[in-house]
Amino acid sequence: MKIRRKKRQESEVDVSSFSDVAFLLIIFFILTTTFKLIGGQELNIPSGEDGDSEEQKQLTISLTGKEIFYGEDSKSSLTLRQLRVQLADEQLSTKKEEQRMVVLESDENVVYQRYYNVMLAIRDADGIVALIERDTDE
Amino acid sequence: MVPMASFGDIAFLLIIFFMLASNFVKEAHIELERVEAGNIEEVDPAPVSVSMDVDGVCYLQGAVQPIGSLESAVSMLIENADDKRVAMTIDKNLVYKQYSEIQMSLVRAGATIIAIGDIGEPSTKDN
Repeated sequence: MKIRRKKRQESEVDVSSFSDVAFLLIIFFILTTTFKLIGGQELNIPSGEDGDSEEQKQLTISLTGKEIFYGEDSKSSLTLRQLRVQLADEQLSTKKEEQRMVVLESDENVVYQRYYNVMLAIRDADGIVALIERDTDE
Repeated sequence: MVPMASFGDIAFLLIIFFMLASNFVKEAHIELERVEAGNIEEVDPAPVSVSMDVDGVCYLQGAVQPIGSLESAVSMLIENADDKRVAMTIDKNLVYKQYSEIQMSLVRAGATIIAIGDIGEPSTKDN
């Protein structure tokens, strides 16, 4: 008697849907990704270690909670736009490095966004930001 | 019938490419709102990063760092490095008494500070 062997069934994993899944993932990533440009400004803040004792007339900007004062004795406040104009008038780019220093003083309650805008204004005018370290007992 | 078999391969190659080329931000867990300005330039990533979040907590390289020891920690990191740039990211709503010490510590440590902000619309506000 002839025994008929059952023909072995070939099993195969269907991979055709893998590409669909992969493309769906790509579309998902393309749609959800946001390319964020990170910007920054280099602050060339002098360390103050090699500062000489010779008194030099330096530009001073004082920030309070809402106002910007230009110059040590200034009593009238400026807007940021006016400050930019004042700094441009100084023509700092034509001066020596030590004359390009702009002392930036700030009240304790000045928010960083305003402080940053003023630092940018100084940088745009080719100034060098100089910080004042206040004594803690003051 | 168009043979579609290679489409899957291309798709997987694209996924692998994006996974390898993506640069994941190590400070993603730090909650802060960056300052925005229109006239800042795009910068290359700095090797050292210092941040201060919305609560005034200071981070060095993504880990919490007491501000009192920030200067020495940064000094150690940049001491022998050629690139002394330190990316400084501060929440835009913090006030001077909170962020001034970071600036001073970085200056004292001899770092070149890169003040990080988002490139946005030019500020229309005057103050």
